[in-house]
Amino acid sequence: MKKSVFLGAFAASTVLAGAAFAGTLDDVKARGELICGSNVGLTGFGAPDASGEWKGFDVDLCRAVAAAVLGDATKVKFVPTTGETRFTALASGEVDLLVRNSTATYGRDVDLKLDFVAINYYDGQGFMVKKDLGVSSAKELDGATVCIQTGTTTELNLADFFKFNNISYTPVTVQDDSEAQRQYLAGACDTYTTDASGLAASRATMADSENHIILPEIISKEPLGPAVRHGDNQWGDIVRWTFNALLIAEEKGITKANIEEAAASSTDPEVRRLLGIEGDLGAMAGLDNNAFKNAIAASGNYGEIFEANIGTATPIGLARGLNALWTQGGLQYAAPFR
Amino acid sequence: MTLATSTPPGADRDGFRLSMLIYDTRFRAITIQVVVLVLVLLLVGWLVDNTIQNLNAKGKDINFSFLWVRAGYDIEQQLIPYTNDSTHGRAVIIGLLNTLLVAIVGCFFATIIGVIAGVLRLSNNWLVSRLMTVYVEAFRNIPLLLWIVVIFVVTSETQPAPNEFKVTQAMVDSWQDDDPANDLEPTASKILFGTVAVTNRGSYMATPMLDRPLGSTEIGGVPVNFSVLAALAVVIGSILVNRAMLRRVKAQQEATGERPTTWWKSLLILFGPIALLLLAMGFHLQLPAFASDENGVSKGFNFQGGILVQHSFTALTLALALYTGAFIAEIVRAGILAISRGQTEASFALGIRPGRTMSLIILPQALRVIIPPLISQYLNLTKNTSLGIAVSYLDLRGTLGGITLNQTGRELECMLLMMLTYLIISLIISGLMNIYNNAVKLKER
Amino acid sequence: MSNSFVRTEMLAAQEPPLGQKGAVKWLRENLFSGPVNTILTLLGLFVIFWLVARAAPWWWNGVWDATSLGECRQIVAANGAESGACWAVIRARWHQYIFGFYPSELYWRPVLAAGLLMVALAPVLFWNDRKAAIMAGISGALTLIAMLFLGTATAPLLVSAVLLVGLFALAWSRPKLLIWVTLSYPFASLFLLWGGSVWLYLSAMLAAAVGVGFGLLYSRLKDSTGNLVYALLTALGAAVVAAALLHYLNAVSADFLTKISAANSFYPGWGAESGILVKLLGAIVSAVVWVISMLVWAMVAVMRAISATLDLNLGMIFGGTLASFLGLGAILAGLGTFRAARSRAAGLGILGGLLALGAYFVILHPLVTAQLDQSLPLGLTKVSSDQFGGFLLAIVIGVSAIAASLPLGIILALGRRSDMFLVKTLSVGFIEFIRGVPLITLLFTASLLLAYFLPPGTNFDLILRVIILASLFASAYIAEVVRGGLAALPRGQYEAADALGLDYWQAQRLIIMPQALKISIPGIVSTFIGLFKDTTLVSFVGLLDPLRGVTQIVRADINWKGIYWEPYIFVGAIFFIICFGMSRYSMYLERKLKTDHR
Repeated sequence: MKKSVFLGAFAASTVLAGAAFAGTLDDVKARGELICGSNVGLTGFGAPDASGEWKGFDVDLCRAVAAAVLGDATKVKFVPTTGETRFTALASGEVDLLVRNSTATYGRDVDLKLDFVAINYYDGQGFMVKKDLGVSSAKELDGATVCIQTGTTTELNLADFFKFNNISYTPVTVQDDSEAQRQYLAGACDTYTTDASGLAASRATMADSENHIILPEIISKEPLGPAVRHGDNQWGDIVRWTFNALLIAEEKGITKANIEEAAASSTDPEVRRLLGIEGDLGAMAGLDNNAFKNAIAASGNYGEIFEANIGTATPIGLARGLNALWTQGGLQYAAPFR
Repeated sequence: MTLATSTPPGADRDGFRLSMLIYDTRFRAITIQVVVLVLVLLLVGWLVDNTIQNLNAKGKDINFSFLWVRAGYDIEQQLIPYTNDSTHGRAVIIGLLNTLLVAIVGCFFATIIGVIAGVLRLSNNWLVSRLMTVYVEAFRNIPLLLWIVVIFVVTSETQPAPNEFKVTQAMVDSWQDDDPANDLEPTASKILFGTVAVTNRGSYMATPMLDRPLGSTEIGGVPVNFSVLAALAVVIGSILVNRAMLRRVKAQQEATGERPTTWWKSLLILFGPIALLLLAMGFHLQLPAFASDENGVSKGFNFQGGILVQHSFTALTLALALYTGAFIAEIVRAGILAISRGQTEASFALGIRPGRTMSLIILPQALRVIIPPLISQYLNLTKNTSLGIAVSYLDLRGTLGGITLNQTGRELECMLLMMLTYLIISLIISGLMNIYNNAVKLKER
Repeated sequence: MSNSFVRTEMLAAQEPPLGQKGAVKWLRENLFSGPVNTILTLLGLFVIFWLVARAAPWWWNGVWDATSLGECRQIVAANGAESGACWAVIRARWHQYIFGFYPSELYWRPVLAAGLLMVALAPVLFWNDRKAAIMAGISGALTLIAMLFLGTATAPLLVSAVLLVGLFALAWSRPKLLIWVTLSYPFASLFLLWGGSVWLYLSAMLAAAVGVGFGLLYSRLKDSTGNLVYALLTALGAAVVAAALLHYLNAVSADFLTKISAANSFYPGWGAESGILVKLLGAIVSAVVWVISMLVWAMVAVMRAISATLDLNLGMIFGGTLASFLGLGAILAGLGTFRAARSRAAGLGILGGLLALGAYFVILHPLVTAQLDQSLPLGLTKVSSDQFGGFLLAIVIGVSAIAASLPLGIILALGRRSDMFLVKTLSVGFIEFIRGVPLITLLFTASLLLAYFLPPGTNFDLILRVIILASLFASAYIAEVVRGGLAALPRGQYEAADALGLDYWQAQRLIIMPQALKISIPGIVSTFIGLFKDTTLVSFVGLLDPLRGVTQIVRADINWKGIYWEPYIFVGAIFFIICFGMSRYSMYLERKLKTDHR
């Protein structure tokens, strides 16, 4: 008797514990708010502005997910996380979703029990040097002093690159992007290495940007994407397909401006499915049928989000490059929506 | 029943009643302790149990084996050899040594700064005492974090870049003609007879080198250099011999009233043997310099040779020394003020000069008041080394609690290990200092 | 004789020589009294000159009116200056440095909370009633001015004005009543800062008051019926609290023994190619880990055995088995309390009241507040913790951590001075552990590990977690301060208390603590200054402290990317003003206390 009660309590608590980690969708719906782990402040990708409103490339993906799940893109709370605290914040359930320019790697996927459900930015690690240094290739950096941010994959890539090319370097570790930029400008290091997008953003804001060049070598693959907890497949699906919906929308030319018109008049069956006119694909994932329509309406399709935050028209001025749609020679390729 | 038998003689022997556990002062202590023990055990059990459940839910375990896995990252300041092929465990030790280095150097300078500032605050000189007050108040009332960052920025912004030390082709060309007026020189030059080059990325110091070293071996991954050991042995030997010599001289002085001149003997004993040893081993300094081609034009990005002291280290140490120095200054000042005025007056009456009064009469007495709070300042400084995070100094927190934690995702293990290490360091420091404190304490009878 | 000259009137006093009067004398005495002093003076002058020469143009050419760093640079260049500060960033973002992301139309709430804090602290900081009243008046006036400056709407402004004037009148006419303001301040400030339904706070306040009041009342009770009722209620409270605790223990899901095997695999480098020292170290560490694991396992096993044997869980409270448990509790409590001496009864009564309070919170509190909320919705707009930032965050963390650490610190201090071996060991262990690790590791614990130590699925604000850890941190330091105060009391005070026949708690409450706490106030203020400065460290766990957190956000804005010194100077200056003010107060107090003792 006693034993059975004990086992009963045991089972109940296991279910409880399981529930706390599995039903992210239900949690979010019950809470009426999505909690998104974001960067503490990275220009163009995620930072609050003067009025406390979060803006950026990663932030807009969070908003799209919030719009898909809750039907309201403003019902999202951003929790700033540092390089050290980000994965723990996700694993402990403090945030529902981590969109913080984090690189998808084997170790993080398997050992840290995270799932990178999509890649929203294909990046690679590069080097920036001053023009007058007279260096045109990263392989000429033998003996150089390199500024590098701690707590990222970049320090491992750097060590690998220099080791592989049998040249030496002195690392100068720095805490964040603005500090790295200051050190580099002060000449405390010969070269600054981080994701190429970050380098471009830094270079764009420098007073004398023409005096700095980004070396041609990209020494690593840095697929950056949203991460969710391992084992909650439904939630992972929702995030993945929200992102895919943004890609398909760009592919099909659906923008924030013409989405209502497309919903009313489009005859393309995939568009009709995507916008919830036909079929009940949203409901399959436990959402409303017009969930993905809401997601696209929140801040536009993938291309619009890109251009508004980090594209060539912004001061950061990144070209689409690898992040162009597959139809334009890029890598962004969404599975069909059916 | 064991409780009843422990009743002291003469007590009420009517028998043991349950209520005596609460109302009898003899037993109440036991009751309270048992209750406390049970509560604490419950709390610990609860915490551990929760941890187990949480670990299970995340599919993790407690496993320290990551310490023996290749680290893969580089550390700029290493006191024992380390490469990115070394293990995380070794990276942790590197970090620990870096922490200890900052702590020791910081405590040393903080003491010097603190004592000087504390004494100067009491100076008759109006300007100097005001300046010291400004220093003390500024450092005591503004967060340490800000000082670390500010000093770091100042060191890296105001010093010249290494390439300003470089000799270019144009300079070499300008030296070819005979007219010295046309000669071009590098915009920056080394200081202290060319032994130290202060750049914006750190200070390059001359490295002591030996032509004929005595060799070295490795014990458990830690290199042991026989040359250094030999030098240490010679120095310690000289000091011992010198002491013996001084003792003999003192005995002679007490017996005959005459003290022979000793300074040249001391000098000879102290510096002769080590100089001979260094000469024998072929000691010389390797100056920091750029690699250069056959014309004397400098090549490369950085100085070759020489020891690089990173600015993150300099800034952290300096900020800690200045910050803690301000607190020590207050302690020293309070200690001096605690010595009664009569001591100073008596000293003046004996004709002792103010400077010597301070160093011979006041400070030795004030030391007794100063030592206990000084210990806690040393402890604070040691703990504050963890703020090296602000300048990315790779100390224990930077390696174990930073990069290793991040790369392995073992936050529970890393944090526990880190706390334990800091705790042990703190306990050792306070233990040593308490021993010292007991040694200098006023022996009252 | 007649030739002799006898002066009949006094000589007029001569002017002192030039070197012995006025500025020259002062200079000679204070600046150039000897070669060493002269050198020091010249050195000091040189340092001042050097600093001013380097920084003055930068300050002088500062730009106050610009929308971006680029514009600042242009203006400086247009003025023909080489360098200039860009204070425009402070002008544009000062509110974030002070309030973080707190909604701007609600700025009056933290301001009012700060003003009330000063009023609530007045009776604690000044024992002179007039001074306390003056402080209340000044802080009230400043609060109103700040609220006007921040453009507060009329309604809250009027309410606050009435409240503050009322408090000032109270402080002036009935200063003794001000202590009630102090006691209710925690609830008022929580309500003001976080908002939400007013009933939540009123109910909590009421429960606390009833719990403590009930305990005090009990000490005056003499008839046995009252005792019995009281014992029953206490037993109910104890039952609920104990059952809730045991419920967790019952809900055990993992087999710890599998974890123990992890300790065996702790050292896989065994036998690999590594030095003898490493091997030895590994073996020792493995052994230590294994022993500790076994001890902890034994503890967990005992806990499980207890919970399994008693077979208790929360459901039983509401089921039939509750009666027997409750009865047992009542008999025990009744037996004990019947024969209690009155003073001890007060202690037990408060304990029981607190237990009843716990029961109230577990069972009734949510129901009551929900009901009241439905029928009479009153409250303020809710503000969530993640909107806190800047100095607001620093002050919230600092003040609440110190307030929460006071009771814990006093208990720890008493525990450390206790003759009971176990109590003493535990107190010393806790204090030395906290004092031995850096605050930053505790903050990382709050951010990374606390979720492990709490029941699965528990999740609450990072700010709250940081406050909890900061409170534990501060409590160890407060304990040492209070211990110093206790040690400073003359032995005679303890002996006098014993001679009067007071028991331990009476002596503490009536004789020891009032004096010990009074002499500890300077130390407590210093601890607070230290903690307040250390709140800047919370940026390392992703909170928006004024120094690095907000600055990082400001720099992430493309307009201000690259700005460096100005935010630091601004934040540093505010920190200096606050901390310097507090340290002056504590020095004033120290002087005052010194004269008290002579």
